[in-house]
Amino acid sequence: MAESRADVPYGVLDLFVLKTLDAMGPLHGFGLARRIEQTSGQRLQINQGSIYPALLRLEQNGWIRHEWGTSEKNRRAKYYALTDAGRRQLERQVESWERTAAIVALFLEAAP
Amino acid sequence: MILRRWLTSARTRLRGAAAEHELDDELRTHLEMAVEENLARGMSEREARRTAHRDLGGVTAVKEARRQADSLYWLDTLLQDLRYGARVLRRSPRFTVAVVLVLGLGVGMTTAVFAIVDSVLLNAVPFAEAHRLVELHRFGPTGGGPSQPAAMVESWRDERTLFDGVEAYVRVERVFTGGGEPETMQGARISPGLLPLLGVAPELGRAFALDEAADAVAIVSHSTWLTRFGGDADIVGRPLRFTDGALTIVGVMPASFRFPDAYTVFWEPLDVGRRAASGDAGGHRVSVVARLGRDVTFEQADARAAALAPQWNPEWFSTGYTTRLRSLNQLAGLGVDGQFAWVQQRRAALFLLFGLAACVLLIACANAANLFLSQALSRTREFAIRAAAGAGRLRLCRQLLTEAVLVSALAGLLGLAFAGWLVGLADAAVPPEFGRGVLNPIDVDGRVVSWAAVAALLAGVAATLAPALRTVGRDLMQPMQGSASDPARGHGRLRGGLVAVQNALAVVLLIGTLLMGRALWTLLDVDLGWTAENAVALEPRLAGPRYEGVEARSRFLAQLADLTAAVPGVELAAPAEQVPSFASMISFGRLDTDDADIAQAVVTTNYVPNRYFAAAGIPILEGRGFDADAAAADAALVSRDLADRLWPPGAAVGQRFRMPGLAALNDGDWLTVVGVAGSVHTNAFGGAERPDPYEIYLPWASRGGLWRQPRFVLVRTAEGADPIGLLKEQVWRLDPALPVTVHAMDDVVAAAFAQPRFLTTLLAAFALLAVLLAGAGLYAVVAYETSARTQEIGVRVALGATRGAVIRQVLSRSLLHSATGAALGLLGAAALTRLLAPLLNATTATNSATFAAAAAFLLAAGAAGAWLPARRAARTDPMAALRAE
Repeated sequence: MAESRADVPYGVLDLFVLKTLDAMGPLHGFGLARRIEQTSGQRLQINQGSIYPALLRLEQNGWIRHEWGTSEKNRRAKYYALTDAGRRQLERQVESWERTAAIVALFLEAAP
Repeated sequence: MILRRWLTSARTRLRGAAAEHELDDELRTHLEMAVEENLARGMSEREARRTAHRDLGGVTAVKEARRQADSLYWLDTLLQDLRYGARVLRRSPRFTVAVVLVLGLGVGMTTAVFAIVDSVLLNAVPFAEAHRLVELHRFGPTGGGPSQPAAMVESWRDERTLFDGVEAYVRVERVFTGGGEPETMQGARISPGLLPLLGVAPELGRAFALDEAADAVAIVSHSTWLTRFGGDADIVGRPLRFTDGALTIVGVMPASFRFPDAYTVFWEPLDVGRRAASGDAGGHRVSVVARLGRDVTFEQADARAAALAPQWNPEWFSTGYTTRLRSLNQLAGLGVDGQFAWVQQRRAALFLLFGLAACVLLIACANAANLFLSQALSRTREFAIRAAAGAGRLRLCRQLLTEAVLVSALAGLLGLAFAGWLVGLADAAVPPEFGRGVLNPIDVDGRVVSWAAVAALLAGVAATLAPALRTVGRDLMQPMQGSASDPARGHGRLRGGLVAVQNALAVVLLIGTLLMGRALWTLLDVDLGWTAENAVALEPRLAGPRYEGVEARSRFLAQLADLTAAVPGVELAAPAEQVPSFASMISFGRLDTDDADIAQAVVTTNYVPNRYFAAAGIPILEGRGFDADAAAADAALVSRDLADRLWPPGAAVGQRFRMPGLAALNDGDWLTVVGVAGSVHTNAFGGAERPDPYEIYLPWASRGGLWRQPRFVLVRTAEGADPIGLLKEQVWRLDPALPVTVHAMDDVVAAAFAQPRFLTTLLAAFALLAVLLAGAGLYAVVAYETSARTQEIGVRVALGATRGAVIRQVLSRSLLHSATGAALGLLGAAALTRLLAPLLNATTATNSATFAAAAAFLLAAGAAGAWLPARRAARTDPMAALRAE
């Protein structure tokens, strides 16, 4: 392990999954996991396996849905895609994160 | 939202193994893709595979994490806990049966008592928003009753700010001819809006339509439907036949519906308008029920009604009379005229019963807690292993709680069954004095079931809480390190305390029962002054124009007496105005003799022929009967009590007395005593507050007073004869359409004692259960303590202690527990007897012999419970005990 990697705060993984699906369109589990790792620049401590519980949670909330498809290498794979409710949820979460981040930033600047 | 999550989850679950496979496939694909990528990066085949697995984090772990992420995960753990709990309970069946039995009996008893208390006190009016239901009474300086001129119903209906609805009813009695023999049926004519006003609807058919007020239609009660129409589903449209015409049945009310009282078995429409047009001063009377408006308080409506009524109808509401409201809650059940002492007594008795039932439940809880405690101790190792395997304290607690809930559920079911049986007994034993009362039948209804569920759950959780906290709160690893410390030490005080509490409560119950039993015994021991065995009273329903007036009724009853006297098996038959043990016409007034007077005498007058005394078994103690003066207008017999009250011993015959202004007694003219009859105790249960009235007998053939109303023929039958069928036929020989009731007098007398007997039986059952539980609890504790002390006892025996010494030591320890409890219990009982005092009548409440007996009984039960373990301890083989170390 080259550098220390940050733990993922609870709920952030859900946001990453939604955002990634929004940006990339339908993806399978491995693709999602790799994509999230790449985007975070390997700075996050994410077990690839941990996206599967997250996917189940998101699907039971009705924010994503799945479909069986075939990968580039002709493998049967489960593809996940954002639903309309998921898109709305993403907007809400992004907004809430930006607000939180702004407040934290403000607080840090103001503090002596 | 949450529901949709569960639904999605449930849908996945229904696919079961297929969904599980899907995850396997998904993860396999994931790994294959990762391996491929790693190979492409130049790793070796083995390294690529290892890295892929490491990055994923392990297939099993992912699957577990996913299971936990599922929205129905809690259900999984719950089912797991339940399965595990059921297995634990099955593994120790004796423990399970004991706990379920103990808690079930406790829950059953409280539930049964709750069913009574709920019907009679808490929910006496089982209609929607019953607190807004009122009756409009005519009230004056000397009291009042539920009557209003029919015309005023319309006026009240116009007061929309006061009432949301105003309806009326009148009671009716008709002779039903649709069955085998003519039979009186109590019914009510109700304005069509009454059922909707009460918020009830028929279970079959329909309610009355608003324009149906004048039609010949009827709704019948559930019991009538079952007993008279065999529960026929096509009853709607069938006729309900009476001597004075038939009504077409349009509906059946549910079994729980009782209005205006429990005896009403059919309803027909009341035409308020037509009733208002007949009679004077605003039409014939009706009873009026109203629902208060939402924005009006009872007091406001009451004051307004009192102000309005005399303005509308000054003729009816004259000289201080007006309309007052009475809430239905106050009128029904034991709310009836709350100022009467006996109502308050009954109410106190019920609450007391409830408290005692709660005592039994507490004892049961303490007992179950002890059982759980010993069970938990023997499971210490199991919990340690589970904790070592990674189960958190919370999870262990939840496991114990789940077991408690399982036990509670079983106990609740058992309790409900037990309560159902008890309630059946109670319903038969509830005395008729509850009267118009009990609009809410005493049965296991929804409220009672919820009560049982809550009681069982609370009891189960209370019983497991202490052991659960003790077990889980300990250092769970300790038992794994061997048996160096005594696990029982920490529990000793708790267990001893629980036993003491049980014993204390048991003593309280025992003393209560003994006192009630003594009171009942005193009651049953009272010489009634007449002979109820082999006596039968015939009561034909003499209604209608044919039986108007004293002459017609007297003639009929005399004829009937002659006919019945000729029936085989009948020794004697006499017509009578009253017979003992029936609510009698009682008169109050000043009673004068030549030398003395009673300012406020309570008397009952009975017009009888001479043979009545023989038929009733009442002895003539002085003078003679009515033989010689059968028609003398001024001859009278008085009861022993009255003679003793008025004249010196033996001097009554020949004296004269009168009650001025009492029409029932010869219009107040002087009467001459021709004999003294034995006093009859009609009111043995009434206690000092309701003394027996003095009896005054007048000749059957004399002219009779204004209020005279002959009702009975009293028949004395031969020993072993059962001529009841033949007796009824004699009535129908005279009038085939006449309904007749046959009262077996010993049953009537027994019914008068139904309530004290019921209370005592119930209390005895409570006490017996309490003592059993306390004894069993002591046994469990002593058995556990002695087994934990096997080594110590072994050493003692090795050092030369005799068997007797060991037994003495164990017994004295157990006696310490029960004696502490008994002492506490005696204190509690002293307080209890003060509450019981009104129910105990003659017996002196604080009775040291009773107290001593109860304490001795309990100590004996404790000694019996401790005896087995003590003997077992005495047999301890010192070598075996020491070798175990």
